[in-house]
Amino acid sequence: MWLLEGVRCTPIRKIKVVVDITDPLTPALTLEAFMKTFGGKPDPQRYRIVEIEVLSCPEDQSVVLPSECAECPRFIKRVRDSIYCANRPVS
Amino acid sequence: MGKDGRMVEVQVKKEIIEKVREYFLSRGFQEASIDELNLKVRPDLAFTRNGDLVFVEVLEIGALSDRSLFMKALMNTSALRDYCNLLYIAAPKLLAVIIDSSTLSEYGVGLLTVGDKVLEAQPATYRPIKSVKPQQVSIEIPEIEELKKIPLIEERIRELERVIVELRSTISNLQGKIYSLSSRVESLEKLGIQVKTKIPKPEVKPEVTAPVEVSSEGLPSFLKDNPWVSILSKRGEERVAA
Repeated sequence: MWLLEGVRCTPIRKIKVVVDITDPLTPALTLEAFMKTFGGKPDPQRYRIVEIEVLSCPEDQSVVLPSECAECPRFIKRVRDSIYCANRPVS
Repeated sequence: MGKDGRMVEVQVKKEIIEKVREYFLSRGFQEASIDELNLKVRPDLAFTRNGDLVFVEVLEIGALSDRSLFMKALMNTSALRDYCNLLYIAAPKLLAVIIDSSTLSEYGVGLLTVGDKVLEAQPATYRPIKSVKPQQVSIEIPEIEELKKIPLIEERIRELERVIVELRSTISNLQGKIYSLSSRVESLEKLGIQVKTKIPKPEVKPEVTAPVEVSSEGLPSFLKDNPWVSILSKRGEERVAA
């Protein structure tokens, strides 16, 4: 079973990103950076806040979305804000 | 999502079901007939092994975009919990990355992630099947309360019937007495009429205006022109008439 083969637990990072819907060329800022820069919450008529979940893949250390883990044969399950995956392909 | 998208979802669900079936059959389980289980909420798959009953609810890939599908599957799973020993949710890997398996673990529900193979990502907790005893219904139905009164009503009816019988006999007695009385009265009335008819009316005799001629010849002097003579002479006639 996969429990004996070694399991890696990778935390998921949730990033709140402010997106300008009137100007697609505006660089996306994190909510904290936006509030620090502009001194207030983003105006809902112009901005939207998007929460993005990302994690660092233990295989190649690249940043991936959790949904990308679904394509990985090592993926086992998600527990709260962590992804459990095996050292070897399990599925 | 269009018709084609829905067809793809159905096809994906069929593939998942087939893979899960193979997974359990390869582990010595036997597929159970869901129709024979006679459940209101039906699992997608049911298996048995050594008397243990396993249910599997399959999450459709459409649950990614349709929350109601997702909720329906979870509610079905919750409803099935008491009717099987082991309960699993089978989800495609794309859905499994958003399902927090720790929540399933709290409720003893297992998770099967289905990719190219089926993986038991979260084992299910074994639980005995709860014998569903019929609850004692304490609902007061007015019709049933009325039915409880039937013996009392029957007793009252029997009592009333006895009273009616007594009244009938009393009435018949009274009728007999009334009949006899009326017949007596009638007979008495007839007798009275007869008596009346027999009593002659007193004859009104014309007053004798003419003086009674009494020959005064040969009579003593005290009888001559004496009014008592005519009165006393009528006495004998009155008695005969009476």
